[in-house]
Amino acid sequence: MSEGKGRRSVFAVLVAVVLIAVYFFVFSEPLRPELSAAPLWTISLSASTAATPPDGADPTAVSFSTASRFGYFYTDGSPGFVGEASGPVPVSDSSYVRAEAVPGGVNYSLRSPAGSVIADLDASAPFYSSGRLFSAEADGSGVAAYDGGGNRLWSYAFPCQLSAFSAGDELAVGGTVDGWLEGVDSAGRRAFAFAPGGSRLQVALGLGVSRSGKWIAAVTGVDRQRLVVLGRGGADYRVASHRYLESDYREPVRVVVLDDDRHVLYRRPDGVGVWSVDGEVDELLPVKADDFDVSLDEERGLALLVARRGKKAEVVAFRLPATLLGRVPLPDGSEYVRLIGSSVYFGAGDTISRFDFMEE
Amino acid sequence: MSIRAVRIAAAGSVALAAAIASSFAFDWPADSGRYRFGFGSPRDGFMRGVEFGSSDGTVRAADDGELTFAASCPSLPGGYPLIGGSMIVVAHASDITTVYAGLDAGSISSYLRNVRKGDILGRTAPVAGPVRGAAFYAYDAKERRYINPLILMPSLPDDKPPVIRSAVLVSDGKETALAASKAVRQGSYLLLVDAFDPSPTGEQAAPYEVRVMLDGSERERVVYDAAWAEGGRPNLFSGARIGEHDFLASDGRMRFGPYALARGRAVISVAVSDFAGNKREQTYSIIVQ
Repeated sequence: MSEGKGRRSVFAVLVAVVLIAVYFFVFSEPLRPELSAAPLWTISLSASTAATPPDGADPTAVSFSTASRFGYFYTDGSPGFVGEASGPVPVSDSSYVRAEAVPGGVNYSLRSPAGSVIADLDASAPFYSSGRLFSAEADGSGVAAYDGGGNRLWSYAFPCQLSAFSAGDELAVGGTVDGWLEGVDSAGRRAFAFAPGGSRLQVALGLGVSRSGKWIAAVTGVDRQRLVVLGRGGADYRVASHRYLESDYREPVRVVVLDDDRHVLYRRPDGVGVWSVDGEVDELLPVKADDFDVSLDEERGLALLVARRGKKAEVVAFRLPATLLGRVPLPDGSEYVRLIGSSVYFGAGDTISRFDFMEE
Repeated sequence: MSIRAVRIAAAGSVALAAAIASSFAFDWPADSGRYRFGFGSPRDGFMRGVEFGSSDGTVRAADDGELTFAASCPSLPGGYPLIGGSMIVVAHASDITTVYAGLDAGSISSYLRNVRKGDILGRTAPVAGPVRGAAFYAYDAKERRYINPLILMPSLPDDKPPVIRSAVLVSDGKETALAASKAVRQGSYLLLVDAFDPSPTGEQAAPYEVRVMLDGSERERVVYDAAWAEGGRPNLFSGARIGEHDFLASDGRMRFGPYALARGRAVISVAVSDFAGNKREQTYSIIVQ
């Protein structure tokens, strides 16, 4: 009896050893290379104010805008044109908009990164979204699009005020205070109109459009809130996936569709939700944020997220869907943070700095 | 149905009147004496709400409801600017949604959920020159259109009639002022009318009704009751259903017509009324050659 018991114990130990060996040799992941944040440079914005504006477009020019300054710097750390401002200036990597107060109103001019006038702009409230130039209508219920030369391409009137907006390369989508999503194509025609519904009260709180225009994700409704993903199918958009949320937001909610055309990031009370357009991924990145922005370095499989809470900001490196690799707090009051691939550009006060995430 | 609803129904929109009849419980969200511009005033386009000055400053909920959206920031996450830097949206049981925009940044009561009539939502921002003041919009979420807030609010004392500043005939881009001319060539003409109704603060606000009569018969009538958008195009007036860009010229004048004027005498009358019923009428007699 006791001999049989002993054999069973030995057998159990052997099985355990074999299982552990199988686990290590078959299921284990190789150790990730160490990820570190390497500071590269810091430039002074005040010193570059007198810098000679560069001529022509430069693909390495990066735009910035803070409460008191706007302009350009270059990825190698050399300063570009820097202008003084009394508030945020609409600026993109290829142009910016200068406002000039005149009797009875405001005149806008579209300018190159070198500061030269491209065109006078017939606009109410110009802004950039995904690098495209738009203008909001004066009551917040319409949008107009412009080309790079400042020519008005189209205007589109929504039925009521917008509470959410996002644009891709070819598609712009407005989310309205009565809960509808309306897409506008590059010719200014309505691409689709869709009311997600499913909640007691209807409102669009946030939306994101993929750069390709293939996917649209939106957080809508009150009691209960929903995340809805629409996918382009032929000439129309259809619901690709959705889920109810635990949140009860009554304010703007950041929603981003990543450039991989697969993952959706959205604000949650307990962090940043990671969802896939087909609904197969439903994860949580444990990073609390009132607002965030994200970039994807597809070559290295690395994603960066800048999370903002009040005056605090941090940059989080992760692998999709939600494997946290590291976090770097930014100085308090960092007004400007820009993520490009694995590079982080941030500004506080009179300086802009760059650090890169590197694997060693 | 109230007298006011009957008047609205008579103006051309029974459905609108029925929808509105149950909604008279609304109160002015700000000091009505500071009402600057009303529905239809040319404010960089056709204004779809009313705009207030910055005197007392308190903005209150027009009726019981539930706050569905509150934002106080320069722009929405996608970059779209919040005009005036803030917006509050309240949904009411009557299918009317009220929107309060341009409140003083940092003053909005975003913590509210259930809103009682008179609850403070925020404060008006300082107004100077072309800068817009706090604006209030009444939106019928069922019909998906804005309603002139004057229809929903308690009446304002008003004994000042509208003003007709000018009326001109336009053909091939050439304008002929009716007050100064006695003769025009026969042909097809648009009629541009420059008229306004003085608001309580003395601003040039929009009237409520405009009628155009040719030789004694009514040719066009617009009632400033509703505005909506369809397929990206803005439309006005539930009875007349006119495209905003067809009606409102870039300089704010109202566009009517075209009218074919044949040889002989033509009598053109323009009658403009405000919401209180004050009326101004101008009649022009011209020879068509």
